[in-house]
Amino acid sequence: MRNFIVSFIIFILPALVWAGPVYVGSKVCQECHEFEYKNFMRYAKKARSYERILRLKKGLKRDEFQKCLQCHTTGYGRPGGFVSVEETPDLRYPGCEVCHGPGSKHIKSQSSKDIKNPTLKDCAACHIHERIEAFEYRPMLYGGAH
Amino acid sequence: MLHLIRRYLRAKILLALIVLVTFIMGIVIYINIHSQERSLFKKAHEFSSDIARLTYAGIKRPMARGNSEMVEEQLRHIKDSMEGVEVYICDFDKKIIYASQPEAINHPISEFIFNEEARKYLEEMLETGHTPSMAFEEKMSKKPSLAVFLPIFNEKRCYHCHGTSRKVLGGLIVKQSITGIYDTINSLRNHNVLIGIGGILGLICLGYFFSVKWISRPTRELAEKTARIAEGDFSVSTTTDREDSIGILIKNFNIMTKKIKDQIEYANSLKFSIPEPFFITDPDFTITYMNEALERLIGHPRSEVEGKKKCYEIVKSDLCEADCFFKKAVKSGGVIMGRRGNVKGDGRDIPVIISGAPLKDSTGRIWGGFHFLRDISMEVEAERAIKEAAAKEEAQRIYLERRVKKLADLFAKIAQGDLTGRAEMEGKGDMMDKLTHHINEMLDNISKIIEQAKEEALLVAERASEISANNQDLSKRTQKQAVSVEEVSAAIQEMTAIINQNAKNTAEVNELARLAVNAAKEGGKIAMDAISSMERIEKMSNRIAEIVNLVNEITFQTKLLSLNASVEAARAGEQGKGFAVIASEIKDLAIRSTESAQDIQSLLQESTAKVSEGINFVNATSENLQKIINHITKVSELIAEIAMASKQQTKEIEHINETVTEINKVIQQNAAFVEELTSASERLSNEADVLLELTRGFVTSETSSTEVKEREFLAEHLIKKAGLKEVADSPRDLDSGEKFEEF
Repeated sequence: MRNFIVSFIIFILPALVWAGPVYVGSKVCQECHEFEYKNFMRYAKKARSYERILRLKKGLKRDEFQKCLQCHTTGYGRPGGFVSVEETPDLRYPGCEVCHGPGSKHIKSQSSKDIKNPTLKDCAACHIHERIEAFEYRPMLYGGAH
Repeated sequence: MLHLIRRYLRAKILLALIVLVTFIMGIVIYINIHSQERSLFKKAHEFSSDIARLTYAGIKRPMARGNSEMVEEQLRHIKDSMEGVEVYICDFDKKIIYASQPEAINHPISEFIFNEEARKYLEEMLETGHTPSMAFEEKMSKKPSLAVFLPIFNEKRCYHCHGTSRKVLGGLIVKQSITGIYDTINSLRNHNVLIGIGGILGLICLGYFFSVKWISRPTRELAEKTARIAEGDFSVSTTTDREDSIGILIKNFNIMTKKIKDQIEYANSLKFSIPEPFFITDPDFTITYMNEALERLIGHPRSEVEGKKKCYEIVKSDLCEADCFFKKAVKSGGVIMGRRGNVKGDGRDIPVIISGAPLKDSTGRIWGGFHFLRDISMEVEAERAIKEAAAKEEAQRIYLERRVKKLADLFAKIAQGDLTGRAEMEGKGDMMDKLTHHINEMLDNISKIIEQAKEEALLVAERASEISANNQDLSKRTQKQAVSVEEVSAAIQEMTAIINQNAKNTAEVNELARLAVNAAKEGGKIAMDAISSMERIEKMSNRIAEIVNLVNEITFQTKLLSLNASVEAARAGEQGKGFAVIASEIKDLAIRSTESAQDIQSLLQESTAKVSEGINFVNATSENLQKIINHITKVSELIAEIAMASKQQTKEIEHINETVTEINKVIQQNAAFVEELTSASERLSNEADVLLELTRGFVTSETSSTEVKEREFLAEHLIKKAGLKEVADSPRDLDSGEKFEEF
């Protein structure tokens, strides 16, 4: 209960208060963008990277693990983003909205104006230079992942 | 088996070889196997470590990129390609993350590590990162295996996923089956054991062969030969060219055999060369050997006795039953010497001396005895003859002692001075009768001689007494003469000394005269020198007179000059006043100089006159000195003549002195001779008295004793007379011419 209250105050309340777009999860995107969704889930490693960080969780401190969640979930720490597997199970994997931004407004309007067309600058939020050096993970913006 | 070992040397050597070679080879094989095992385990450890490092190198990059699939793929490849190798990667919580056996993933690593020590090391490694330096024996599918551990450190490249809080992220465990190593070890062990057994057998065979050849066979041969010697066969001998201990043993055996043979021959030589009856018995008194001498003594042939008869059956001595010497010798252990007894031989008792000793072996055990029987029949016969001779000798001794005692009694009387007794004749006509007869004759003759001696001694005593008295007078006169001559000699010596002193004084006077002449001559010379000096003074005085004249002239001229000066000063007036004073002073000086010159001149004239007078005096003195010299020279010559005369006189007096000394010496010798003569005559007188005294002690016959008494009275009278005469003559004047005539 206490966790719930804390999560509510930290994550839900801001979302309720927040008037802007919020995260809806990749499953919602699949309804209109079936082809892109399948390609993404098939080829993009990040689509399943939440499981990987779980394997390392027990050796990490809490703040260290929270840093992992920022790139290995969808919208962790942001309004309407990932809170926990129980509360936000659809956001536990890094999905479409990691690069395209929250899609609630785009869902409603169905307009391309309401969804972001990402650039390399958006990729650099997680694909920082050191990680690229360490993992050789190139952003797949031009890789034909979807 | 033990019986064989105890009996045979070769069995002992074989046993020793087996034990020794097996022990040494066992140690060698064990060390070899152990060393091989260690080497193989070391290699296996290195191999496992290499696998671990290679595996880690292979999975390091995919793990760093989080590429789990690649890691799993690598591990599967290892499983497929490397049989008997299992690789596990666990996290810090000892949970298996990756494994070549997929079924092990997510299981605790402890389920696959069975060695407790290995678990501890693994925990320590995951905690500290310390890598164990050893490999651990493990089980892998119930088969032996080795496990090595390698830590996976949290490096910088890992921080992206694992954070920075942990030093060690996990560990790499490689298990390698060592079944093959064990197979190899077993194979090597079998090989080693087989080779070792072969070597042991070979060494044992070789050692046995050489030990039999070099030790066992020669010692067996030696044993057989010693056995023959022990049986009494001393003809054995052996040869060898070896120089080792066995060779020395064989050579020593030959030397020992020879020495034993020599000893036996020596003993036999002794036994056979003994001429006395001799036999040897065993401890049961059975005769084992008897010689021919015994055979002859007892009359039993050897063939019937040796080994068949007891000694007491043959000897039949009276000692055998009562006092068997052999039993005693056995009891005391020593030699029994010279028991006398009888033995039966040829049906009669034969006197013998029996001796012997027990025969012992090296342990001291008595194995028999040797017995000597010395036939003393001849000695017994000789003893009987000696006893008879001794009895005869004793009777003769008693007879002689009786006769000699009689003679001794006679001589005792003679010793007392009694020559009246005579020895008794027994009429046997033996040597004692002859001796008695001669003694009686000798006593008769001695009695006669002593009677004559008594008479002669009395006469001698009388004459000697007279001579002694006269000699004493002569001696005293001679002594006085010698004293007078000594006084004359002393006076001459004193006179000689005075003359010598005169001669010495004359010589000194002569010397003084010579010195006086020399002094006078010296005075003459001095006078001549004085004259020449005075003449030189006279000349000098004349010269001074000339100079004084010159001074007078100069003073006269000075006076004129002073006058001129005074005149000139007067002319000069006031200004020449000072100069006039000076001229006046010069004039005074010139006047005083003239006066002094005149005084000098008068003194010189006086001096010259005195010098001339002195010359005359000195000349007179010189003439007088010359006269003194002439007189003294004459005196000196006279004194020299006196000295020569004194020397001549001294020589003459010395000659007289020597003559007197010679006379004194002769007188001294005469005095000594007279003293000796006096003492000799006194001794003669004394000895005549002694002779008288001695002859007085002899009684030659009953009638002679009265004559003796008369003679004694006469002798005593003479002695007393001589003594009184000596006392009465002592103050008598020795210069009496009558006595010198008597002498």
